[in-house]
Amino acid sequence: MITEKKVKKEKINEVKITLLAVSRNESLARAYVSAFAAGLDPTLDELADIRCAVSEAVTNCVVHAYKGWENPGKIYINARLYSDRTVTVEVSDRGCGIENIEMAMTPLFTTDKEGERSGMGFSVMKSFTDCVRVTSKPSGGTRVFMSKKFS
Amino acid sequence: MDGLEIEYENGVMRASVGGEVDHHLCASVREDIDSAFFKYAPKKLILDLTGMKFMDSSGLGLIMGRYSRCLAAECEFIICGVDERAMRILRMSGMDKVLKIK
Ligand SMILES: Nc1ncnc2c1ncn2[C@@H]1O[C@H](COP(=O)(O)OP(=O)(O)OP(=O)(O)O)[C@@H](O)[C@H]1O
Ligand SMILES: [Mg+2]
Repeated sequence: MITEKKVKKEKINEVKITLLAVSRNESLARAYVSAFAAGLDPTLDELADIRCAVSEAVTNCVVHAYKGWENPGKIYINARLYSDRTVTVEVSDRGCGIENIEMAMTPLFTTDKEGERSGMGFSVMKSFTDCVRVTSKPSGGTRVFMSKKFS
Repeated sequence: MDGLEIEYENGVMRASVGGEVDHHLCASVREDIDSAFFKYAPKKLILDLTGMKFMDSSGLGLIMGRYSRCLAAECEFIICGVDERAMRILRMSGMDKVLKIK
């Protein structure tokens, strides 16, 4: 009989970062999260994947979430490391929300044509991580959850 | 070199973009490339990404935008210095099939 040894997934670290939703914070968010994820000793490629996925989610908060607001809102990042070498990153805002998530996640779909956006942000997040989940409420905000297991 | 460097000679304009090519950088770089583009009205635009250390979909937007500008102005558009990671993003969007990549 084969007995499966269950490895319990334990949380080993967590950070919460709040940033003003301005474009100069995009590089800061990437740097913070990649320094945090480096705690799991990922490969340089894996780290670059996380950096890019985080950049997409954070940029969306800057570009879309608070569009038309007089003062920029905030970006809330919550990142966790687990003992099974998984990193999870949640990027949330309290902005305008997304009406149709499925449509928003379609490659090349963008609501910001004048801004020269390619509409590939969610596709990049999906391709560079293992799992992307989006929840959103019109005028309530958006939450993007991503996870990636390092080798 | 981080940021943008523009050279022009004999109808060829070269825009070299270095550093982290994200939404923050693209916003300023795009305007500067476009104003030089309208000033010189080149026959050929080379977007040189050799000095690029990072790119996300905002960089892809910059590339697509310059591509359509060139198409409208009947100017040849070439990009060079694309690393493997940026190439992945170009492939995702299908732009690798329409761009001249050197
Ligand atoms: N945080 C957010 N708040 C509100 N709307 C959002 C948010 N994130 C994404 N969206 C909506 O989803 C669409 C698709 O997002 P995605 O990141 O895939 O493309 P994009 O941001 O338009 O372009 P790109 O990321 O390629 O520059 C956006 O155009 C926008 O309408
Ligand atoms: Mg985006």
